[in-house]
Amino acid sequence: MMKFAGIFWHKPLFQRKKQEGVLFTVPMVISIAILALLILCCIFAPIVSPYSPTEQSMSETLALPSARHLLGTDRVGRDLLTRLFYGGRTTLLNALGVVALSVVIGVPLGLVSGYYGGIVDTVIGRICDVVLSFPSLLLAFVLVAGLGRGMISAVIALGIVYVPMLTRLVRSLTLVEKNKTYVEAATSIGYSDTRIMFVHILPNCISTISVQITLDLAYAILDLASLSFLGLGVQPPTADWGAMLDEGRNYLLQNPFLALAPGIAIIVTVVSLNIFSDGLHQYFEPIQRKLPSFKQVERRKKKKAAA
Amino acid sequence: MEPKVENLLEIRDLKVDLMTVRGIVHALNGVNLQIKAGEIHGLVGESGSGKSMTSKSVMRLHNEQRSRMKGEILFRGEDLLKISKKQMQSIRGRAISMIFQDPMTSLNPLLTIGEQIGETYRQHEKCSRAEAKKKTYEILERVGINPPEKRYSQYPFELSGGLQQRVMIAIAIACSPALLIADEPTTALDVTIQAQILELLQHLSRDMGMSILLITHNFGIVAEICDRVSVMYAGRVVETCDTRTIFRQAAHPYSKALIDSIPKIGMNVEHLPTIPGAPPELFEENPACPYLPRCPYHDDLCLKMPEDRDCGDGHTAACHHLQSGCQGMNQEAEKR
Amino acid sequence: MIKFIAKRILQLILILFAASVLIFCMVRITPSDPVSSMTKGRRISEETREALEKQYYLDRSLPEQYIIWITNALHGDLGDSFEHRQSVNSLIAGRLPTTIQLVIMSAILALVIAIPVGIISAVKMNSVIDRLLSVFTLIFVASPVFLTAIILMLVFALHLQLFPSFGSGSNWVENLRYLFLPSLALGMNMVALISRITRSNMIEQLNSNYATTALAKGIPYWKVVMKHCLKNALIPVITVASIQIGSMIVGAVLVENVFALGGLGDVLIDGVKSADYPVVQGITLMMIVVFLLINLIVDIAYAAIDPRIRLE
Repeated sequence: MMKFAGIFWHKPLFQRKKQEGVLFTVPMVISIAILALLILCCIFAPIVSPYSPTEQSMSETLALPSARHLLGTDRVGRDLLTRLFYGGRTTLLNALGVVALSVVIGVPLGLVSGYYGGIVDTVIGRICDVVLSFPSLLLAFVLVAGLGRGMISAVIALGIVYVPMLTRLVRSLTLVEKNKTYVEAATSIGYSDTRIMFVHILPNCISTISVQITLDLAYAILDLASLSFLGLGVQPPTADWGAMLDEGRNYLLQNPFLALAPGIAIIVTVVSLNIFSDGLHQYFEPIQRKLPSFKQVERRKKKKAAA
Repeated sequence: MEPKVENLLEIRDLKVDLMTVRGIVHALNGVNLQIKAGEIHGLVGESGSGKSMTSKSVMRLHNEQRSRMKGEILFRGEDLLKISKKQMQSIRGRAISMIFQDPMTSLNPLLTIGEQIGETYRQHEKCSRAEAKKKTYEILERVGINPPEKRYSQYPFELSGGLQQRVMIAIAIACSPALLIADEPTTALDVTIQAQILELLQHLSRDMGMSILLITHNFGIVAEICDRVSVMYAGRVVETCDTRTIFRQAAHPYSKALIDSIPKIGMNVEHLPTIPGAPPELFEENPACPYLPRCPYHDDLCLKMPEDRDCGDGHTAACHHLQSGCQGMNQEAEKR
Repeated sequence: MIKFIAKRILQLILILFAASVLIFCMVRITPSDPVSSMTKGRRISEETREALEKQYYLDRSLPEQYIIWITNALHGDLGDSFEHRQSVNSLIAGRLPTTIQLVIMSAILALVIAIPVGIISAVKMNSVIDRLLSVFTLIFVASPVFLTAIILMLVFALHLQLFPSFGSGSNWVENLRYLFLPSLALGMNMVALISRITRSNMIEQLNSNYATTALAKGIPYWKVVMKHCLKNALIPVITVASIQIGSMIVGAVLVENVFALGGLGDVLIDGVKSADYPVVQGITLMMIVVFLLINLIVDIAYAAIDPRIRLE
């Protein structure tokens, strides 16, 4: 029996489909490069930057950008660029935490809901309906009120808020996969439901789920920033981009970079994630792709012929 | 020389390329087609052979970014591919109009029947709402929709498929066009309704002296109402002749095979004749006869694209090996 | 039609009930001591404590507390704030008008900008204009509302001094000026989303069969776009817009914070920070009611546009 186990892996992760799309398009490469650079800077913040994120220097408060401090300093003389890297660490890690939490809860719920149907499905579905009737941040406010403010609360609150969207997505994908022959085959061999759901159905939904996850990551960054901005998330002296923006907005006239730099960092990250997610989507479903013009195609053909 | 017949519409060497996800498709490769005033002209072929493409080209309804056209489409001697968009707009719906396969999706779901018909009058005849309404009532009656007052304010989803198609016909004939293009007008309808719609079209053509270009894949319909017929294959018209001739003396091997594959009463149903193979994909420009791989008569001559050859009596076919005793003269040779 | 509305209202009531339970449970998800936060940690006698607990029904069990809260809420009384020593009703009443005006102004601004942007990029699909507009909208999708607010404030209030940088006026006419930048900030996020959806729906409608029919009967292209396709394309746009109103209500909290408008948002956030249960519950419940009511109205408006629903 064991040697047949492999055949039900209908397709390996990220295998190219027949009508294949291109993964590395120009916007995709740019967004990957930006994201990689950001992540590297955040991971290696202590190496990249000569300053400490908490070291205060009262002689250099609110300094404008200079050779010593590329983006200037904040109210207590901390180097802004350094804090931007450390803030990025917090923001990105927390966003990952939010998404991880929502995946851990949402994916199994969706699988169970779609696979078993019936009462289980109805109950899960109704709960999702109710949660989705809240604007996402509002529910996060309520949860933070219950949990007490702080970084962990913010991550847990958003993680829970993101569950129903993912559950619905996974449920609809499971409903499609459930009726395919390979599931029937696996059932007839006598595999357990759990094994069928996680080993057979889940891998076939991964491509769509991964698109949603990258998008959720972008939303998580935005929502976490909002919570921190309102003072409900990260507490000082830790900084994330939202909290830095909150701090910086009081000094808009002295050094606007204090607010703009973390703001731009958020925009760049979220835009890159959006493009990345879009690229993944078009790679998995190339029908959506933009068509080139006649001139472009003919130019390409000529080039090929010349070569 | 044959006496020159006045053609209402004459398509000369029409080529259309389309941009798709998989690359450029040469959808039409030199279509030649003549439609005489007052005739019902059938256009038949397999799906993908370019029937609808030809009709959309006449109306210039292709997405401009994703297509390009070469050749001539002469309507009353004027090349439709050369006139301005504005001129084209005033021809659409007034001189040439069109009805489509699926009436359900071809009518705007959010506008009343009356609004959608009256709009044509207001656009082309610049008449007031009241006049348009009066004319709409008349045209509704004419296409057999009764009572017009009730139907006028109904929405498309409230009508049956047959009535919806009648509404489409009403829109199309509102301004008494010289040419009506009917793109598979009965494919989405029940068989009994089909007959009614065909009859209606035939009557309208006779009463109004209107030419109809009837696109279909059903030879039964051709036999029923068409005066002449053209057969399309792989983006070319391979044979044109009158309806009687196509059934008796099809000259092109493809047309012959098509006619032979029509099931007949008394036939052994276990072995319906088919044409082996499949039509070519049109991604590459092909210098050979596109039917070559499926043709039982092919030889080295067929590596060259065949010209249209005249078999007399307005019967032309594009093949090096004409069938049914048709002698065929190369038009080039004839000119010399 | 009446059946349709009745069904919708019944659904709304059920969801509202479930939502109120959810709010109540989440606020009390961890055990805490509201009395000590009320008294800011000052030492109080057992009697005072008991009196306070009694006043706020904290001595009852949780289900009882819920029933008391929801019964009073149904009678229009949202309870008393722990923190402010006044009723939640009076806290809301003074601040609600600003918030409502802000949300309405930004919704109008957003639709007025977004729909034309969406139509133009659909009609000029894949052209330079379309690409520029899509980059522009992508940036606003990615920019959190408070950042947009800060940038607008920096440029138009602090540097160009065209608008006041904070506070609100004494009546709604005066507020038009005070609320312009805040509503623009709040609206831009929605512009990005709505224009993208308008674009994709419009492209779909332009490729539809009935659009081809309209073109084939000689109707000019722009008239086909505006008369035939727009109405069809707007139906899904309205759904998304009505759902977006929800995130706008929350976005208003952030924008009010930036421009110090003194709306509902500040009270809510203070309530969240100090675990002021009645305030958080009351304001959240009210926001949900408003949000669901808007959705109900949109659903009915739907039916007015679409005869397929209206006539069923």
